[in-house]
Amino acid sequence: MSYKAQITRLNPTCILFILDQSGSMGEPFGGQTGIQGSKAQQLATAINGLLYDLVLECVKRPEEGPRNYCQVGLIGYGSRSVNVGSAFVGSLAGQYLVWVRDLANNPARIEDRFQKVDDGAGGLVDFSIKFPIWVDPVAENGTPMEEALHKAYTILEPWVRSHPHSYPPLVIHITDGEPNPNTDPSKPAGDLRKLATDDGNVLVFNLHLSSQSSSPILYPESDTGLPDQYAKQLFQMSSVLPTTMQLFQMAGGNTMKQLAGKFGCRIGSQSRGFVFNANSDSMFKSLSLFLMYLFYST
Amino acid sequence: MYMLKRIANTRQFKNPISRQIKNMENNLFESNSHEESNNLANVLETSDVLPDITSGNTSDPHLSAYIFTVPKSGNKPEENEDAAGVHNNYIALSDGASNASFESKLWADILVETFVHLPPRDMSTLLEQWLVAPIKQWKEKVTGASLPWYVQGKALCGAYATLLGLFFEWKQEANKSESDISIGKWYAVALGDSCLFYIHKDSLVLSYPIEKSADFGNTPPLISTFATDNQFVLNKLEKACYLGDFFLLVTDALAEWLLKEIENNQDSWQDLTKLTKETDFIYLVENLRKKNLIKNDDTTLIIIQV
Repeated sequence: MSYKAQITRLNPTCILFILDQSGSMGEPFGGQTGIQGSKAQQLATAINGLLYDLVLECVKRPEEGPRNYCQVGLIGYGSRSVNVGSAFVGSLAGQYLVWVRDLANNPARIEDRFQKVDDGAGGLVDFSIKFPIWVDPVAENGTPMEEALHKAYTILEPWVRSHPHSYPPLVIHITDGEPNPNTDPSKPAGDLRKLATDDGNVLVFNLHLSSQSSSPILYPESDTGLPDQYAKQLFQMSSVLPTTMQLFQMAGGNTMKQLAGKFGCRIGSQSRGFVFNANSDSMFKSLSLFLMYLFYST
Repeated sequence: MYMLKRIANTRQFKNPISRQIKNMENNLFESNSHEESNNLANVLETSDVLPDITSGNTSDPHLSAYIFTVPKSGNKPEENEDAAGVHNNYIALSDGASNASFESKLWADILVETFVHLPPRDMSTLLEQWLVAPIKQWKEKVTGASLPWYVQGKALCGAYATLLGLFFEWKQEANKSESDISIGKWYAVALGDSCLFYIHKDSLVLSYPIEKSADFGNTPPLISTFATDNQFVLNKLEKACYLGDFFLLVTDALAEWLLKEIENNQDSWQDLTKLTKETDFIYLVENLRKKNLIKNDDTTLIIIQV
């Protein structure tokens, strides 16, 4: 149980996002002003941005295209059309796990976005960035969280069997609300965390987006201080951040622990991959932190 | 990753997307969303990629040179991002940074080629002016509108590499049989963690620019394809040169091991000076990897004997 396996094309890993697409995601982040768009819009941008980063990280030599270091899955729940299903749009719609190379070659569309970049000679130029889109903002219906986590289990159960030596899959669940009444997401979350390769158990991280203005609780070590039963449940559903992940030194010389310290929060040995009441900024930063090990170790 | 690099806030990383996202957060961004033809089938053609330099010959009669290199275990030889070159009295070694870097092998090749064939006239102003031509060369090879989005995106991240350069100036009338009298001078410049080991009269005199094994692991300064990132002042090392002197130029994995050995009073560097066959070098490196004594990385050794 080491979380030390090298991520290679022969020993790829898997990242599975579970996205809350229920109605309340159409609202802005709680208590924040000056943020453009709803939680759903911000989340879609974050996921598209992360996938952009992931593809680029897997490109080592341009002529060979991205290397298949991992498979990526997007499960959405709440949306009227699918209830629980693939959140990919465009030609990948309906697929659960997609290789990085297929991801790179099949965005739903590519948007042009403009920004100022270094021109290499001391100035700034307006540069058009190709920004591929794989997921669109959705905010509809209820919150079938238990079903979504169970869906993740059915996807990853065969995956770990067919990749016994791989770095274990990472599940990142992003939600802003409470599960549907009379459902219990902690059961399938527990099942997920029991799945394992010989390098460790499947990791389940939960990122709760704020509807109120209270400040985020980042990577807690215990559930004392969490405001309600629901927060405690999400805490219990979350894996401890593996030591190797906490202490992995990435290019730039920083570890996850140090980086978290830089934005003002402490990661301890029992810290869980869990954020409660994340605002937009802590959502972006936490998603990055959770994925840094995977991206830097290829 | 690029979003993370924004947090890390290191000069090292150019991250279009994270800036993009940052801009979004600040409501400053313009979006021109439109559907675009999804033709991403065009793949960059490898045009005029510089030849790999793996065997070095010097036409300088004062010097003999060997260059050995072995890729990271699991990688193919063409994936080796180290570059090494020897031309007359100029020697260069460069280690392309693979993380957050694009076509760094190409960048390392260009830096080495430029150093040995068009060396900077004044080492103290090495970077700014001297890098104009190699940066242009790199850019011409990696940019093009017909390339897939991820190649265009990657090119925006730039390439990074170390550079270790060594060169000699000979005295006009040196006594070539007397080992106690200097026959000229040697100079070294270095940026990054590729290291030079200088051996005089069978003893190791210095390592440059890194002197302690503990100094590895920190992010070394690197030469970038972004001109603005290259605001370094280089210290040029200048020493007298004697007949029989040895120079070992090595990339970081081997350098770190060598320094650890030296700190433990082991003279393993002597084994390296005796290598003459690439197969022996590969055997040595693989053996060290098996024993977990060096990290699994592209590993290169240049041996220069005066």
